[in-house]
Amino acid sequence: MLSASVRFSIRFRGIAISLACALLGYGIFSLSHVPYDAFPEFAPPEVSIQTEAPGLSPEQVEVLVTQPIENAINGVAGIETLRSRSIQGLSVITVVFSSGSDIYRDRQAVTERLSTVASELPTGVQPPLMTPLTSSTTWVMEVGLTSDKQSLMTLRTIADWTVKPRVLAVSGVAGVEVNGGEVRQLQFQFDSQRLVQYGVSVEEVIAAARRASGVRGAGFVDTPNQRIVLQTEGQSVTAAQLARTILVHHNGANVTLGDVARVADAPAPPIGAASIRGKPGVILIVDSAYGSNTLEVTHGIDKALADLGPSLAAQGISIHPEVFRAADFIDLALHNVRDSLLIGAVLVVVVLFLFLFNFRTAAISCTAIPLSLLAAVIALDKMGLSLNTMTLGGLSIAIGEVVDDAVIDVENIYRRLRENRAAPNRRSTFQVVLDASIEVRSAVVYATFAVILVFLPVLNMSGLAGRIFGPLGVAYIWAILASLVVALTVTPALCMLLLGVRDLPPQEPPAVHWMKSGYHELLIRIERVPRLLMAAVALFVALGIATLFLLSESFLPELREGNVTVHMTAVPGTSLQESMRLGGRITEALLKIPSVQSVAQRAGRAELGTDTLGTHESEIDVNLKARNGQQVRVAQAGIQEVISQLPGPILASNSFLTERINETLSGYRTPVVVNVFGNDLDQLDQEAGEIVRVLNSVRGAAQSQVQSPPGMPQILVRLRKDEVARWGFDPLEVLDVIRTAYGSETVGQIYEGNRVYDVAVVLAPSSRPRVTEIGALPLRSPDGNYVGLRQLADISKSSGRYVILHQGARRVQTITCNVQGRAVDSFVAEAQKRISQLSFPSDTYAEFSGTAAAQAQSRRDLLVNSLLAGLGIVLLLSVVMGNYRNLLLVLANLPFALVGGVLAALLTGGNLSLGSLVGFVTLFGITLRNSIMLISHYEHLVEVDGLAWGLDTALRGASERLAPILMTALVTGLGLLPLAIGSGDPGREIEGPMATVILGGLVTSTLLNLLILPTLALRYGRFETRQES
Amino acid sequence: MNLNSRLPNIGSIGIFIVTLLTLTFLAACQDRFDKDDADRQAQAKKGPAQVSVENGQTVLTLDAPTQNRLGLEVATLTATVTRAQVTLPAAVLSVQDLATFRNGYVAMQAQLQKSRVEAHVARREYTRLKSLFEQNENISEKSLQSAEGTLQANEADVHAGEQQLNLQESVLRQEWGSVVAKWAVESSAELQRVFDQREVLVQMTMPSGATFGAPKTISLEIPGGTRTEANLVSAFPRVDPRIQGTSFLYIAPAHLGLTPGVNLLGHLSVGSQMKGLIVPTSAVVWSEGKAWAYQQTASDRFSRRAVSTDAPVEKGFFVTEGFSAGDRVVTQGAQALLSEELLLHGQGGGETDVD
Repeated sequence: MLSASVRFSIRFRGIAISLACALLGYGIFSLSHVPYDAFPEFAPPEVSIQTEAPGLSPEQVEVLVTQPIENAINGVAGIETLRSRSIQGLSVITVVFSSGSDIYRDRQAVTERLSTVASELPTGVQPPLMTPLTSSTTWVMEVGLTSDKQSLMTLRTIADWTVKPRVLAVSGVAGVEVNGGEVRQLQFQFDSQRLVQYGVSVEEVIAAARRASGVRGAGFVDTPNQRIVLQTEGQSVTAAQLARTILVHHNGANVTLGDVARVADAPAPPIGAASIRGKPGVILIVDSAYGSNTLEVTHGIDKALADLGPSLAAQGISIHPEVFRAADFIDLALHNVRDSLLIGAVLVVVVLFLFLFNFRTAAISCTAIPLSLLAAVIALDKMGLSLNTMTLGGLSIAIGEVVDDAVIDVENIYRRLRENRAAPNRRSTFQVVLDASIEVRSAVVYATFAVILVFLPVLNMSGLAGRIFGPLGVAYIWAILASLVVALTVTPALCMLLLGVRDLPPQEPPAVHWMKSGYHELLIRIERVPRLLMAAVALFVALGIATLFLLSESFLPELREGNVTVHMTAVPGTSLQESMRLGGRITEALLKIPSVQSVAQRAGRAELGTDTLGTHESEIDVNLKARNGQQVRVAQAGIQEVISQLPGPILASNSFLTERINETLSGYRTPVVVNVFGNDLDQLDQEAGEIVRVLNSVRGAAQSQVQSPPGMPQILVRLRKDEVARWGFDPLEVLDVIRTAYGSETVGQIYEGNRVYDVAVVLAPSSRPRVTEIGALPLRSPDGNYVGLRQLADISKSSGRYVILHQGARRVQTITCNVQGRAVDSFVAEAQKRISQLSFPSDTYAEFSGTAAAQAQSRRDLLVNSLLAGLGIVLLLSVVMGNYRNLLLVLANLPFALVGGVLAALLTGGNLSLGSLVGFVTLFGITLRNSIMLISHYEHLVEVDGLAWGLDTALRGASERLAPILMTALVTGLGLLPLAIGSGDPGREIEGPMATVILGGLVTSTLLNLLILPTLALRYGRFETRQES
Repeated sequence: MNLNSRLPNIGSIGIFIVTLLTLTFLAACQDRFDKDDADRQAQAKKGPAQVSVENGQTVLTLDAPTQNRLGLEVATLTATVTRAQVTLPAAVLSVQDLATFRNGYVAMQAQLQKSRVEAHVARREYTRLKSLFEQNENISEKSLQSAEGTLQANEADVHAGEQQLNLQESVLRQEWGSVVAKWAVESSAELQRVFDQREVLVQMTMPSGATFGAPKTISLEIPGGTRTEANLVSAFPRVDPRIQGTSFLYIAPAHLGLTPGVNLLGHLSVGSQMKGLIVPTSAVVWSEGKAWAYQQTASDRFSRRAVSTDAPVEKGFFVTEGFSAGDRVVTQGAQALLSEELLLHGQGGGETDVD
């Protein structure tokens, strides 16, 4: 089959080359519309359900809302994790499905379950809603709005009713969360004393307000010819009109709503606040739809904002699109990786020309690069994968092999053609090209399949690691498969076209000639002292492997993106005002860092937002001007210094994507997460406190915190049933009055043009902050008597919880912790050891999750899959090599490569990230290929050319393979060099360490492959002619 | 040139590489140990705030730059004399029934007076006729008996009149209280001013369970926002049907808007005057079911002190113990100090303070 395809391509070279051109054209076309992203979709299919339960405490939300929904959903097939947070007035359930499941089917299954449970929820609880389907990174952009002229209420109104609809209309936008500002409401702010003064009740105020703001349809009039629609107007729409609404009629006099309440446009009780550069404003967070193209979405949003710009500017509103832009990092990362790819490609071309010293052969070899890479891009596009730093990284690694495939072919054809021209009995050029192509093909095919086998462990990694590195493996495999096809078709066709008809210089290229002569001498000298050298190599390898244990490990390196998020968590119960004040202090300090471009703070949460932060929590988005890894490192250090100097709240900073990755792993943004499961909340708090103390005693612990700490101040109103009955109250009425007073009761809507505002009844703002006056809230009994709340209820002040957490429908208390100054895995190992010494009650136990757990899982996956792949490779090689001695010789190169990789990792920081491990796997593939090519060449010399195995054959074989091996090594190395040098720059953080390991390993393995392997082959190899075998 | 001379000895290459590797290995080990030391030092380095426990009290130590970064503001507490402030509903009373009563009472008084005069005349007549009859029966016995009957009838009228007047006074006392009843009986100038609409009577009701008595003077909030003072007249025997509590009657100068039937708000200073301090609302943080304020005990030291919330005043809480004049409390940033104390240095408990 191989021969047939090569023969066909040489014979119909025009067709082969035309098809190659078509592929080139289509590949370039694909490049223009393939989705671009920073990373592959790394989040598993996930469904988030939010249920608003106005006024319910976290404990009530947990029992009455979260539990029924969890029970309903728990049976859905394919659920991997079920997490929930029950906070005051809101239940948030996150369902994570197993990777590979169809997200649309998952959502459908959840929707079906939700429709049945909705009717079982308590009255007043709104139906559960699924949040929009978003991409892994979720947020595509944050846009700030500030104004010197407009009030915060006007700003929020414009954000809600002008900016949000326009941005939502952009294709690929899944949702827009509006944070901060003041949500306009028309409020009836009743004065409790005035209620008594005028003898009215809160219920009467609510009823009157509801009547006043009611909207009624009117129907239509049918005439014999027409249907005429009736429209009624007269609803009160202004505060003044509403204030004149008659409440009750006493002794001939009217009491109006205005007598007992201030009717005014006022902000709804806030759940969040925002500031941009320290100035109060509104922040819109734009979520991108699942599978959308971040760059295109950003472009669309930019255009939408540009359209709105003039009108907003006329109103004195400034737009801040720079608060957070995911596209900036994608642009920068892709730019960096593309640069690496291009620089690598240019270096490859230079090397090829130097080695081949022939324009035509170099051109044929170079053609394979764009063809193979573009074919891989087309395949990725068809698979629905984006072009991201990982897939581009895969293509970068593949360059070496792609060129190698072509070079082996070109070099052999070139050599055979030259020999043929010198031979007395010349064969036809067609036959020479065909034979020369087929001669090297089988080794290349086997080597390619061996490399694919090597990459299978990377493809089979589970969880987040698999989702991040899988696409790299896929891109790599597609590129080398495409390269194989190119080498079988286009390369022979081009060789026939360009080399077959012209004269070829008889001598070798000068560089190759010079190297060969030196190499030959060197090999002879090595052969003289084999034992000493082998002992030195054995020691070298042993020391190298020993060095492996000095390396620390991490899951993923720190990403150097220009977006840093500072998390501020004060003690639960902290007001929005205080959170914003503290945030303002931090903002002020951060803005003094020269490389900081913008700082924006969000405290609390937005309606139906992805985050469910309390008023005590803030996120401060810092956008950096810095563009390279070093600048970002300096800026991040500056940020760290600022936050380390502020006492009070817990402050932690991380880059946006690192957080998203951590969040995907554990639901939290820190690398270390400890979950304590149990039933008794107080017991859980106690154990969590113990664990925090233990964690803090472990070196490297930073910002350890209990996620759901008790200590939130709360006022408990417990009705005294006998008193309630004595005065003739209905308990629910009493609770309704309390909720109306302190939570507000929405009684209707009014509209202004296309804007709709809530009408709400609430206690006057001046009375709400008075903690000690809650007991004085007057309630009117059915007999018309006024009774203070404290006469009906015990009012006590205590501590409560802000949030109650569940995982897998069990109560959990979560402790999160950052690690500074040491590797996460060693920290976790030590912490686990210490925590295991704690004694927990029988129904309480602790579990670690977070990146450390994921890292261990990935390492296990990689190890098990590598062993399986190793077995596959050995079996494959045993078929190719024919005897176990040669097989062992091929495998001998692996420790050589390992040593170089370890040394490179050691010299560049001594840290092994998952990228480095993948680098080792890749390195083994490349190394195997090189040694296969050398050993199979020896086999060819003995079996086909009929040479006797001995020193001369070993030297000749090594000399002939010198140029291809060096070329492959140099081409691969130079292709990866820009990635390795720029390691740490945005976009190269993950692949940089990988490239470094490959580069280091390539140096040692190539050196040892060229210098030691021939000696080993001579002593331990077995090469026999076919007749003998 | 001979190639051999350009190539170094292979053995020496091997030795060189191994030496290099060994040195790298040792350097890496050294580097790692150094890093461990650096980490330990970093760990030992103190944060921006120090928390310590002295005599059972948690003390936070923050230097001046850190206080500045946190935006801490402190205020000095000054001694003050104050009383608790309460706002209660009040209503201007209609005095129409009082006027009607007064008219009836005056008529009854006149009638009684008339009866008394008639009784007096009848007595004198009876005495004279009795003397004449005793002297020589100068008059007929029938005349004497007639005069006696007249006297007894007139005396009965006086008695009935007096009884009726007492009853009226009693009714008035029950309806308006003893003071107003006295005014009505005595036709006092105060009542006349009320009748002349120069002053008004105001009922103010205290909720049941109130622990304070009625102050002599209260401030009435007149519709429109202005205030006027009212003086205590007496306890008021009628109950405001809306509010189950004790009512008091106040008298206030007449004012536009103070018409009978108008509901008002009365602002009262209750309880006895106390010397103490006002801890501003901005200084108070709630935790563990109690109110606290951070007191600056030295220029860089702060500790949390409980604040009594029994006497809320407009701008904070009036306290008589726990703080003294001249104490400095944190009025901005108290919650941040609480965060420092609770989040990083242990969680608060769950004590409960029943209101």
